[in-house]
Amino acid sequence: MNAPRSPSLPLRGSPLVLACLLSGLLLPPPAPADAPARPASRHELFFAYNATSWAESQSGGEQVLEEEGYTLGLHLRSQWRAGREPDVRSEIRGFTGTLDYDGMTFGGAPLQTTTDYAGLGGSVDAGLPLRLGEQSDARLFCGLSTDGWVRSIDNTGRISGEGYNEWWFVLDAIAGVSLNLERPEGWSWFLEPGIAYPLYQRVAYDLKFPDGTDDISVEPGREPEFRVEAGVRSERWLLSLLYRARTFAESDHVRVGPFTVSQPESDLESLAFRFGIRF
Amino acid sequence: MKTDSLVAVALAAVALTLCGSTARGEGFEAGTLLWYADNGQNEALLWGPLLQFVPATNGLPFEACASLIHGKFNQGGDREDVREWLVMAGWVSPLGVLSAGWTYHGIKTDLQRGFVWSYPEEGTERNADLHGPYLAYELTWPPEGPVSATLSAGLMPHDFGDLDDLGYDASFYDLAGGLQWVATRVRAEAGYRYRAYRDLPDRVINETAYERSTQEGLYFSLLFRF
Repeated sequence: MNAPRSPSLPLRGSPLVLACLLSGLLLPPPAPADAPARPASRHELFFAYNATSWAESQSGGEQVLEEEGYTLGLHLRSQWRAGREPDVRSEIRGFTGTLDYDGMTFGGAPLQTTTDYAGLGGSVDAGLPLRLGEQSDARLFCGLSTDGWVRSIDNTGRISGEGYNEWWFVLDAIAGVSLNLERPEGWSWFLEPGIAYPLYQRVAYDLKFPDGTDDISVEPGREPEFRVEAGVRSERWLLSLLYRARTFAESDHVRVGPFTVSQPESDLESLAFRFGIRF
Repeated sequence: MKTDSLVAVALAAVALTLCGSTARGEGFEAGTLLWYADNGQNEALLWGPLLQFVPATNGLPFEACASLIHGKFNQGGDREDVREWLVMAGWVSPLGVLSAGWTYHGIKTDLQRGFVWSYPEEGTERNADLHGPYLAYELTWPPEGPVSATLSAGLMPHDFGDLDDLGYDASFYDLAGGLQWVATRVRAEAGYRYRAYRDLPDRVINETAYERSTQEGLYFSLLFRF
C-alpha cells in the first residue's frame, strides 16, 4: 500500500494560479485607454459535436483500453463588460454521448461494449483586452473551470445489466489568449490557445467489494490540458473547431482486502465542431 | 482518434457553412435532433444535425429539411451502430406540410469478441442497410404563436436496400406528437416518436430471438435561426 497522501488543497502549488495572481489579472488593472469598446454583454449559445477518444495505459505504457466515438455538448457562454475595464466571461455547459469501448474485464478477458458519458461544467475568467492593430485585438484571460461527469461502462440494459459507473470531478485553473481579426464584411476570425492546470481531481467508483466497501475514490495525477479553438463569428452566429488534449496521470492506489484500486494513466483527446448563435 | 471521425466533423462543418452562406437571412435554421429510442431490448440516444429552410412569410410555400442522427444500441456487447439520413422538400399549406424525400439507414453490427453469428446469413442481415422514398405530413396547431402542438406521420413505403434482396420487408412508418416553442432566434420541440417496421429479421443472442420491429421514445430538437 502506498503511503498516505497529504490532503490536496485547491490552490496549492498551481503555477497557473500563481501566475494569475502575480500578473494581477485576478485583480485586474485598468485597461489601456485605446482598448476597443464593446457591448455591455454578449451571449453565445452553441452546440459542440465532439469526436472523442479515451485511452488507459498501465505503468509500463501498455494500453489496456480505448474508447472512441461522438459526444454532444450544449454551451452558453457570456461575456460582460462595463465600459473599457477588463471583462468577465462565464460558461455553463453540458454534454452526453456514447463511445465504443474496447478493453478488458477486471479479470483481464477482452471486452467490447459501449460507454455512456454525461456531464455538466462551468467556468469563469477575467480578461484584459488589448488593441493590436486597426482590425485586430487580443484578450488575455485566466480563471477557474470545473467539470463533473459520469462514465457508465457496459450499459447493456436488459441483456446483461452489468457494468459500473465512474464519477469524475475536476477543478482547473485556466489561462490563455484570444486573438481576433476583424473583417470589413462584418465578421471576424478568432484563435484562442489556452491551458488548464488541474487544482483538484477525483474519481469515485460505483463498485461493491465482497467486504461491503462501496465508496472507493482516488485522485488521478495532475497534468495540464492543452486546448486551442479557432473559428469565425459575426454579430449573429459562431462557427469554430476546438481541439483538447489532456492526460490524467496514474492515481494513488487504494487497497480493499486483496484488491488494489487505482486509475491508470488516462488520455482524453477531442476535436469539437461548434456552431450556434450570438445575441 | 479515428480518421473518419475527423472527416465527418470536417464535412459537417463544410455543409453547415455552405448552407449558412447560401441561405443566409430569412428562414435558415440549423440545430440538433435527439431521439432517445427504445428498440425493444435497449435504449440509445440517436442524435445529429438538423437543417431546415423555412421560407419567408411572403415567399414560396415550400420548405426543405435534412437530418442525420446516429447512435449505438448495445446488445450484450454486440454493438449496433445506426445512422439515419433524411432529406425532404415540403409543400406548406394552411392544412399542414406535405413532404417527400429520401431516407437512408446505415446499420453496422459488431459482435462481442469471441462470438460468431448464430446462422450463416445473420451477419448479412444484421449489417443490411435500408433506404427508400419517404413521405410525411405534419400539422402544427395553432399555426402561429410561440407555443403550438405538432402531429406528424411518415412512411417509407418500399425498401430499396439490402434487406429487400434477403426476402424481408424493411418498409416502416413513423408517428410523432409534441410541443413546439418558437422565439426570435431559437425553435425547440419535444415529443414522442413511434416507428414500426413491417418485417425485419430478429436479433439472435445465445439462441434467443429478439424482435427488431419497433423503435420508440422521446425526442427533442433545438434549432438556431441564423
